[in-house]
Amino acid sequence: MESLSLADARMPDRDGERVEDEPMEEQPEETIAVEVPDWSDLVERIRREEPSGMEELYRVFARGIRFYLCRQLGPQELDDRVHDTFLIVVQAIRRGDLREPERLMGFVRTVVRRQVAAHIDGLVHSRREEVEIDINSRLPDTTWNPEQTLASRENIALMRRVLESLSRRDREILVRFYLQEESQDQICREMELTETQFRLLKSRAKARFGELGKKKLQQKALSALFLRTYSSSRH
Amino acid sequence: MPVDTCAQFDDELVERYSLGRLTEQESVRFEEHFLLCGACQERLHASDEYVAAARAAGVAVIRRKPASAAAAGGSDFFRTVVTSAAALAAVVVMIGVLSVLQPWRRTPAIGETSRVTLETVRSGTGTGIRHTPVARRLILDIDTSHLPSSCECRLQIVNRNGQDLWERRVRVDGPAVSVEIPRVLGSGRYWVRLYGPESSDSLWREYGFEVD
Repeated sequence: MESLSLADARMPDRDGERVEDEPMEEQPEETIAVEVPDWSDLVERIRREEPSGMEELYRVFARGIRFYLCRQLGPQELDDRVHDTFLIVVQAIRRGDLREPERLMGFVRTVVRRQVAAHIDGLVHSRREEVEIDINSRLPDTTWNPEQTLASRENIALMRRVLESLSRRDREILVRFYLQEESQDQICREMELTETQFRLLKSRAKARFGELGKKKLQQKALSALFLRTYSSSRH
Repeated sequence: MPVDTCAQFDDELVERYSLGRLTEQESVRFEEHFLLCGACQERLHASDEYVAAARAAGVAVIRRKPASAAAAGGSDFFRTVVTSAAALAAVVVMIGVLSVLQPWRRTPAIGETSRVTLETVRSGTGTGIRHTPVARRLILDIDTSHLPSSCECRLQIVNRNGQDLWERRVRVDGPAVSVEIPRVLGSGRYWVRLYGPESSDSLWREYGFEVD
C-alpha cells in the first residue's frame, strides 16, 4: 500500500519523487449552477394559494429539507417532519409573516433549524420528565437499516486501511484532527507542519479512501455479475 | 432565472461543516445553499461519511495499540505470571548474591601487602611456622638454598586439608625465590610445596605458614 509520509518538510509525491511544499493537488472543483426561482413570484403564488406555487416550493425544497432533517434527526418519522416543515412555511407565508420574499431561502432554513431544535428539546424534556415508560407509546427506531450498517462498517474498514498505511506521525495528525477535534492551527504549530503539508496529507488520505471505495464497489459489481452468470447457467 | 453556484463552497469548507467547525455566518451561507443544491447535499453526505469513518477508524487504531501489546505479552493472566516469575527470579538472584558476599558478616580489615619468608622446618606443627596477616597481596620469599640452580619447579599451595588452591611454575636460580600469590588467602594454615622439574616431579620441599 502506498505510504503517505509527512515525516519531514519534504514530501514524497505519488511517484516517489520528493517535492517541497508543493501546492495542493486538488482538482479544480466543478462549478455546478443551481437554478434559483424568482422568490417574490413564488411567495406571491403561495399567498394566492395557487397549486403551482405549492408544487414549486415542494420541488425546490423537498430534497434539501429532507436531507437536512435526516442528517440531524435520523430517518425516523422523516416524512411527517418534512410535511410539518412545509406546513409551517406555507402557513407563515399565507399569514404574511414573510415580509421580504427574497429571503424565503433563509426563512425556510430558520424553520428547519427550529424544527430540529424543537425535536431535540422535546427529547431532552421527555427524558427528564418521564419516570415510567409507557408501553403503548411508540419508540423510534434509532438504528440504521442493515444496508447502511454494512456500508458504515465497510467505510470504517477502508479508513482503517488508509490510516494503517500511513506513517505513525501522519496517522497522529489525522487522528488529532478528526477524532480529537484539535484545530488545524494547533496541530500545525505543535507538529511543525505548514498549512500546505497538512492539507496535502488530508487530501491524499481522502483520495486513497476514495480509491479503495471504488475498488470495493468494482469487486461487488464483479461478484454480482458472477453470481448472476452462475445462477443463469444453472437454469 | 438567477443561478447560484457551488464554487464558493470548497471541499475544505464542506468538511469543516461536517466537523461542526464553521462560524455561524459560514453555516448560514452554506445551509441556505445546500438546501437548494443536490450536488452539495451529496458532497456533504460523502464528507459526513468520511468524517464518521475517520473517527471510528481512529478509535479502532488507537485501541489496537494496547490490544497488540496484550497480544505480544499474552493474556492478563499470562502477563501476571510472567511478571511474578520475573520478580521471584530477581529475589532469588539477590539472595544468591547476598549469600555469597555475606555483607552482614564482619569483614576483617585486610592489609594491602604482606610478606612472609618461608624456610624449611622439620615439623609442620613446630614453633618455626610463620604467621602472616590477611592481605590482598601476599608475597612469599621462599628459601631455595641447596636446591639445584637454574631449574624450573612447580610451586603449589594447599590448605590444611591438602586441597589444591593455586600453583604455578617458578624458576629457582639462587638461594631464594619470591612469588606473589594473586589471591587473598583467608585465615588458616597453608602449605607451599615445591616440586622438582617436570621430568621427575618429586616433592623437594614443603613450607608451612598460617594466615591470622
